Amino acid sequence: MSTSAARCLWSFFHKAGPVTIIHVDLRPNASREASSLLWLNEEEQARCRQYPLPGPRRRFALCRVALRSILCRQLGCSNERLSFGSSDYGKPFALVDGEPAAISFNLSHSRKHGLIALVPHGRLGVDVEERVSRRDFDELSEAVFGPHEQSALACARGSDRVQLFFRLWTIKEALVKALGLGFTLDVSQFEVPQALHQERISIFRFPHLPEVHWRVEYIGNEDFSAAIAHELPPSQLGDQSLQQLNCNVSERRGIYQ
Amino acid sequence: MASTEERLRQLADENLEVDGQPIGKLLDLGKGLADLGVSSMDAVSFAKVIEQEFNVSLLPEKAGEIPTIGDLIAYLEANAS
Repeated sequence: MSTSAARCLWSFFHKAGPVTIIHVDLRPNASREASSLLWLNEEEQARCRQYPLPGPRRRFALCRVALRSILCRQLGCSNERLSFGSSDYGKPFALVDGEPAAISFNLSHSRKHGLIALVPHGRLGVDVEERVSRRDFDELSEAVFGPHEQSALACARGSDRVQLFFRLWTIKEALVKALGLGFTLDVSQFEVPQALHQERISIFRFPHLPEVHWRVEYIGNEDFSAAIAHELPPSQLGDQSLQQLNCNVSERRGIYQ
Repeated sequence: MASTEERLRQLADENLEVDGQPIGKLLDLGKGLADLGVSSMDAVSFAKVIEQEFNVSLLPEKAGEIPTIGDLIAYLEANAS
């Protein structure tokens, strides 16, 4: 697959502060999928072959090719020099010539849509979910949402309930992915700030990690729910805009502590 | 009586799908659900089904510590009542 062909996979989606978010087109396309394998190294091709179903195989391959294409441009390196490592909890990071690259990224996909978020510094998480009506909203809510989140969902009806469920889920998962501990964290022990039930941007602090500030933005559209969480560097904590957001968060601290 | 593995495969066939396809027969004891393409949302939902079927606690943070289907079977056989 040529560089331009790989470029056809992805397009700019959103800019959230210093974070760039790219959309990856994951619709089935046999020729694109076949040629995408040429971009992957042996380890990645082996991983592709291990997926028994074509959908997950396609989503992994196309997202990885898009990620490779984007990172090569950002880091100014060839595809051959790029590889990936992963943390103890499975969060991937980029290596150039075997050395950690100075870029933070995270990736998520759901059915036909993939999102890749990139930023020069700071932990980062992204989640995307196509909204589908489910019979098990109540069971899922009990497992992952706190009392205020469950109350808000109980008050919502019809499509508003579906929208709110996926909004809260994607925000929560983006935060968990940014933290990098997977679901080893008890996700029902923290709540999405009330402001983010309707507004798009807020600052968040985990109850067990109050010194770290996360900029959270809901970036969903009519096709899917999606959110990003980005660790704010200490240098930004004095910004006037952050102080204003912090005031808003402090006023609502009780809902997630 | 069906083995834990057989019960798990049947539960997966009845409650889990990837792109509309049931995955009970595809479960690999050496791999996790994510290796089959199961989303985190479906994995959490499936954990709730397992809790009911095996009368065992399987909170998301606990499930996160169980990387493979083989590990899950061992956990269920040690903790199910």
